Amino acid sequence: MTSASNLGLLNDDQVASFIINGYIIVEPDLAADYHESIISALREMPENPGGHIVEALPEIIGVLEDPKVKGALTSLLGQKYVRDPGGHIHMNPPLTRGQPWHQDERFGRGHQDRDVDHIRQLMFMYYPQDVDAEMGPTVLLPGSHRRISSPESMVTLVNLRGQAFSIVKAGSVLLTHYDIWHAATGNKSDRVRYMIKFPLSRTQENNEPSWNHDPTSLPAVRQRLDGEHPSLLSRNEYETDHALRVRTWNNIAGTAAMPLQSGEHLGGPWPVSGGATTASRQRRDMPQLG
Amino acid sequence: MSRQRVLYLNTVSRSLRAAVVGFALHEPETSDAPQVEVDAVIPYQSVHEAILDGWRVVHFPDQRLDINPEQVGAFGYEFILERMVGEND
Repeated sequence: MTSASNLGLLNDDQVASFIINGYIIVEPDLAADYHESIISALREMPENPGGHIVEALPEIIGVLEDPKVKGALTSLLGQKYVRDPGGHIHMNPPLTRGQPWHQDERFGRGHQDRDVDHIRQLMFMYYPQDVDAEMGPTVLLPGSHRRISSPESMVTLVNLRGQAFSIVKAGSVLLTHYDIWHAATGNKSDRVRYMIKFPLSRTQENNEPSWNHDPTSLPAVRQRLDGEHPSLLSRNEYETDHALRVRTWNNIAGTAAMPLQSGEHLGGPWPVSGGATTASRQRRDMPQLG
Repeated sequence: MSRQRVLYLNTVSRSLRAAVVGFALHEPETSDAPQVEVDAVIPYQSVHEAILDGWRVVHFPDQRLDINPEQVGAFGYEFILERMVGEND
């Protein structure tokens, strides 16, 4: 059996970060020539294989089986996660325009009932080449996986405070909560940007944390879940969001669940003249944006 | 002939002084729609700041009920502003 350390499980702080932000970047332990071979294979494909990626590109299993990737997936989806049917190879050629903001399949095909306080499904995005700012990196909005929004309500949104870009080195894997707001941005370079995307799902609830859990870290995790926000929120959103985050932790933590009520976020420095009246208000008004 | 520049500002509340969390600027010229930019800089920190710079609000966001404790919904409150430019501007 693969040990926890060999499997590359996440720790409590990394799981808390995922709950707060909705994504994590994993850098597999694969040699550069592996990623180059994937690019070569992609270039030789006569057309997009649609959902039949593994059949068309069996080498891709190497990334899915990488210990760091498996460790992150196990941590977030439990011991018995599965790769769902489908997936997509995104080819972003030079001088393409970006996509509008969207959540994948949020309004259709039975997806309306997805939970906003759980991690049941992830999106795996693998970039076989370096992605710089000009190459159409994926943009995502940290923390947006708890916002249910129709495509129509997003149609006027363009640049958003806190938006983050997958500017990554070759071989990186971006794991996102399935519901995170994201989009491909325009490719302004003269290079093709490939990205291979797979959905993965949890198949069973956890009885205990499926990551490298240390009970002594719970107060620090709680402090983050209660008080750390990746974007500016209105007051009701702020209150709703931190409750949903604690519930998300509880839904995946099994025996390491924590009470829903907490005063942790009320602590902090005394107010300063001319500033917010409480520490929690100060954190809400001036979040530490990434 | 004057033409209308249109600026969408999304804010965290209906207040003119609320923090801006998103923007989209549509220039009155033949062009593609604005898109997400890696180096985008939010032009104003509040709608009030935009007004001080000469923009005029043409649409105020509606009140939302926002009473469902289970949901964090649409992103911000949408103000639409305009600024007229002449042919020689």
